[in-house]
Amino acid sequence: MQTTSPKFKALSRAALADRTLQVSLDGLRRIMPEIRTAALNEMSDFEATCDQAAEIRNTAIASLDHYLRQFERQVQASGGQVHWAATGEEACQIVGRICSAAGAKKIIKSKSMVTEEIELNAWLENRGARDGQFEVTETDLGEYIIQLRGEKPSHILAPSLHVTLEEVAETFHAHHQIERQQPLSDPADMLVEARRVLRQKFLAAEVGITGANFLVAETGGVVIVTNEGNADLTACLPDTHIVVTGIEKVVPTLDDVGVLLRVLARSAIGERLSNYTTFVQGPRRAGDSSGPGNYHVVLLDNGRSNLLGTEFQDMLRCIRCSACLNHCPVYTAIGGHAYGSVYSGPMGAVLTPALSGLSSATHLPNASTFCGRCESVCPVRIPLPKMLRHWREQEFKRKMAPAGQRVGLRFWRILNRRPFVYRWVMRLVAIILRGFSRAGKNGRRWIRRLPLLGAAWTQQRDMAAPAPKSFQTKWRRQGAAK
Amino acid sequence: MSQTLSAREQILAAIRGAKPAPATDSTSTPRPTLQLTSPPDDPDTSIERFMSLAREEAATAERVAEAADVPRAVLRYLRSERLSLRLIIAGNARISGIVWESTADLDCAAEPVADDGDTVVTGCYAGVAEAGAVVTLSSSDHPSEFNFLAATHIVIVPASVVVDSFEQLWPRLRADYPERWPRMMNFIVGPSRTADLGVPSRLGAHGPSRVHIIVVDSC
Repeated sequence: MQTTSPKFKALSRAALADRTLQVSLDGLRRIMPEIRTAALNEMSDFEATCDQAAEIRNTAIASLDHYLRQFERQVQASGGQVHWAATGEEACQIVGRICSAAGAKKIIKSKSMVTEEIELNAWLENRGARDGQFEVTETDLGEYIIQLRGEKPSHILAPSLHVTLEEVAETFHAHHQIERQQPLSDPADMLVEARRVLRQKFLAAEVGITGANFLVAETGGVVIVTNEGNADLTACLPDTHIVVTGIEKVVPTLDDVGVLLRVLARSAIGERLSNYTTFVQGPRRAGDSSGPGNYHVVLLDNGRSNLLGTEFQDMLRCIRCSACLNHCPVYTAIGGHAYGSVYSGPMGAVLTPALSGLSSATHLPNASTFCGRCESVCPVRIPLPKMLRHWREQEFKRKMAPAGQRVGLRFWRILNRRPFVYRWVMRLVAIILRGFSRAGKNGRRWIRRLPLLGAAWTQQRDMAAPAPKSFQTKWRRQGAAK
Repeated sequence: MSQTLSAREQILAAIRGAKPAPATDSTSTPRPTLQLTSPPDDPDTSIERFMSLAREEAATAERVAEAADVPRAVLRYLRSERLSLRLIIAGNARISGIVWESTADLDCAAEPVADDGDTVVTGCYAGVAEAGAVVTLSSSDHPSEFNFLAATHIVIVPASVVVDSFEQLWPRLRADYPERWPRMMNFIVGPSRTADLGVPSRLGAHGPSRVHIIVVDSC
């Protein structure tokens, strides 16, 4: 997985200054928490359902090899083929071979973060095209827009979140080769045009590639969730259907899928269920008038099995709902591109170092205030802040953190282990800080400007002055009074 | 092929090496599932819930007494929406008691593939009240693309197939398909939509822009 994560700081600064991006992010920040809360308040037992969802994912992960083999047997019994890929490169090669064998020229895809992770489109269009050009067309509207623009997704669910309507209109104008004076202005017309263009692609394609939301061991079923219906047409119309997905997506039974579906759409888009939830069990049957004759499932590891048995195993529970992105004060300030990885926000900050190496993503685990909102909205109870902390510990141990930070942390450790010294140093710091403070709003004192190291904080924001008496002092006095 | 075979062994060995854990076969010993939704008091509650939640997701829904009423209901709907009276009728919508040809104004075609402007009528396997979802299974009588290619999808839902929750659907499915699962199972909640062209989301992305549900009390 290629990342630009080392440039995180510069990209974040640019994102904060990007006016149009800030408008999109502001919309996300205001709308998503509200519609999610409304959707889950409708259920009397949403929190219990999340506990159950987490337990289901844990059960699957605890016996991953068993459920994967059961899934494989069921797919094979239905006439499909299962392929295993240890790396992204292997997965691309497998897909390339299937496309070549199918004599394919035109390939349609529905949105899949796993194929973004392994950069399948680029592989097919460049390296896979030895004896003929593969033309790959994304059919999720957001993914189609960024494909035309040559961009990466900036949100795992809404990949074109950063693109304004005007930019969409210009993009369509530049690529659709339709005679007209100026770009469309009404989004309804843009939708009609995109639907018409993509419908032709659907009907002409020889291969359809989709991802999967869940794999069902009991039935060998692949569950795909969309609102547009594009995954369904991708799985119905071409003669070859290839599913590319991660090994961690398997769950034991249909009952388990039902529980996970209850929390997925509510967490993701504030809906009870997405418009289309599709279960695919193999290729066309005898007597069927349509459906793919060839059906393949590619199971990708790409670093996932390395997380088993480690402090990052819980990350494998992730169902890619994006609630942690939508509720993250860092993601909603800088957007997805700053992370430099197709996985962004808190889940991306945990997953990217795991998949592409900590050394190429040292900034990401530090891009968190540890406010804990991500963990509180996660429908499968992933302790995201705890795992970010694990990465920070590794950075410290492996001497990857900057020298200043390491010295600071060492100093902090020394203080923390000596309560008496800690209290006196804190008292001193509080007195100094109060010296810099001025009376401000809410009858409190605020610090507007600090010298030296403190300037890094006050350049961007005010800081509340420490209270005249520390909590510990008050506590002791209260205890003495009793 | 040898390379992919080794990838399989490599991955499974990595999993086993990292996590030796006891396994239970999920088909032979289904794990107990916590019943999260309370069972319905009477079927009517589920049907009304199913229809009202489908309406919330931009579908339209009506209820008729018997199969013979369906063609007239379809005609009424097409006229109210000012749609063409030409229909493509899936095999599983030819439920006994529905005489499509009895309504003279309807033009009932038997085209295999639906075009973008068409109206398709299909049956369904179930309705799930908790999500306002219609469930269809692919078959020669109901190719899955019928659900997605047309602009308007009319679904006939016999009242007897409406269940309250997912938990009530799965046992039915296992009982009806003991040997082999259907190739494709589609849960459909209202018309196709996209949120990629601004807020609010827009109907008719790739699939139908209209979904009309007709619940039939006795058929």
